[in-house]
Amino acid sequence: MEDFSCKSVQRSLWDYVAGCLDEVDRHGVGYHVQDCRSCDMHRKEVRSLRSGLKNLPPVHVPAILNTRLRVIASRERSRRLARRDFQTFFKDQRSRAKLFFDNLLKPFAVPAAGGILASFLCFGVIVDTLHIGPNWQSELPMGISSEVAFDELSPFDCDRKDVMLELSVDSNGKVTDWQLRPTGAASPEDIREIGNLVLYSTFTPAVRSGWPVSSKRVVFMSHINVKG
Amino acid sequence: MTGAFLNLNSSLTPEQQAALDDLRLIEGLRAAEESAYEELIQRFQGPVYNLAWRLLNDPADASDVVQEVFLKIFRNVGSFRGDSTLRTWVYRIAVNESHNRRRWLFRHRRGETGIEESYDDSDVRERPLMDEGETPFDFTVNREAQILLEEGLEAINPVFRAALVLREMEDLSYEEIAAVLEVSIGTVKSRILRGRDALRRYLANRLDRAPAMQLVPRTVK
Repeated sequence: MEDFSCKSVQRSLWDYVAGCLDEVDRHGVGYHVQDCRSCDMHRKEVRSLRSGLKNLPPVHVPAILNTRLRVIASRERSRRLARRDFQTFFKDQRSRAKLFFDNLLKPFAVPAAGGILASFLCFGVIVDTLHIGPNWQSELPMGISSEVAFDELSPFDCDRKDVMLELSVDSNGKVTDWQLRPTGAASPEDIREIGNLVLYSTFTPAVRSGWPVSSKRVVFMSHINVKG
Repeated sequence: MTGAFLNLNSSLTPEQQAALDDLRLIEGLRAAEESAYEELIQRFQGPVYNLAWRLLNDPADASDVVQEVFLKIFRNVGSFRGDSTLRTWVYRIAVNESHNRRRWLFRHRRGETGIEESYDDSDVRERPLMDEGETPFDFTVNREAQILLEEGLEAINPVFRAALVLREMEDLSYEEIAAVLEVSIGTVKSRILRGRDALRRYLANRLDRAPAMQLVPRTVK
């Protein structure tokens, strides 16, 4: 300080109170304050104010912040360690990926297990009511062959002697043609009755390789009278 | 050899010893030593939180700033050149983060009105141990004085407040404050001076108010 006027002294009072002035300035300010009542009051005010600022209670660090800082430190430390060499880096990345995958799947673990268990239970309950598998009823096995067969005889009576017929039956079981064997062995009346008999009878068509086909069949029809 | 090393250590001045400790801590952080991270947190979490709290006057914002500060320290410790002391470097980051935070709050929270009750920080404030001899009256007066001072600090310009807090409460030298605030020493002194004047004016205005009741002595007729 070049001079120890009230203005310069008052500007230095904070440093004077803090003890930061050098020897010469401290003595100069001290002498001035002893003689000057105004500066002395100012010094007391500064000392009180500085003491008040110094004694302001410090703010405690919240516990949650303390924990967060340690979490940050731990994360940054592992990050720094991981960047040391390639081996550590890849090991760290692998563990991170594993952790990420675990965290990704964990939320689904319980619901997925519950869902699978529930589906097993439901399936076990309703499995008896299910009809699973192909419907074989409408199909015949391959390689099976059969001939034309009678289903039902015509309700019209045929009061004639025994005859032998050659029937042509289509794939729907309908008679498309018939002939007497031997030919010409019947009267026109007989032929009409035999025709009615054949026309209103139903047949099962012949089967070749599992499929109904048209075919011919020789049928011998004998007439039986039942008495009583 | 060890004895010589110890003798060498014992001959160091406190500043040199502090610089050596800082260097050891920095090296520990660079080597990712767990103890170094722990030491850094132990040493600086309190001062940084107090500084941020004084500059922002909000515990939640101060907590956010402290986390940002430590994150920056951990990530940038490799680029710390040692031109300043560790404390100066940490405080510089804290002051810059606090200023950034205040700017962000100014931009984004101007129109906000909180519906929650005002934060009661009485549970996080350190309660000073009472002297046996201190009376309740003294305690009340001291507490009122502290509240007044805190209000005064809050009222002054943040730029001046930062310099004042660093000087008077964190005990940094002018050179260190200049390094923290990245301004010249003259500017630091000017800011501190203006901060002190502003604080003194505030307190003078508050304390010089007219009393509610004034006794006037009169003679009995």
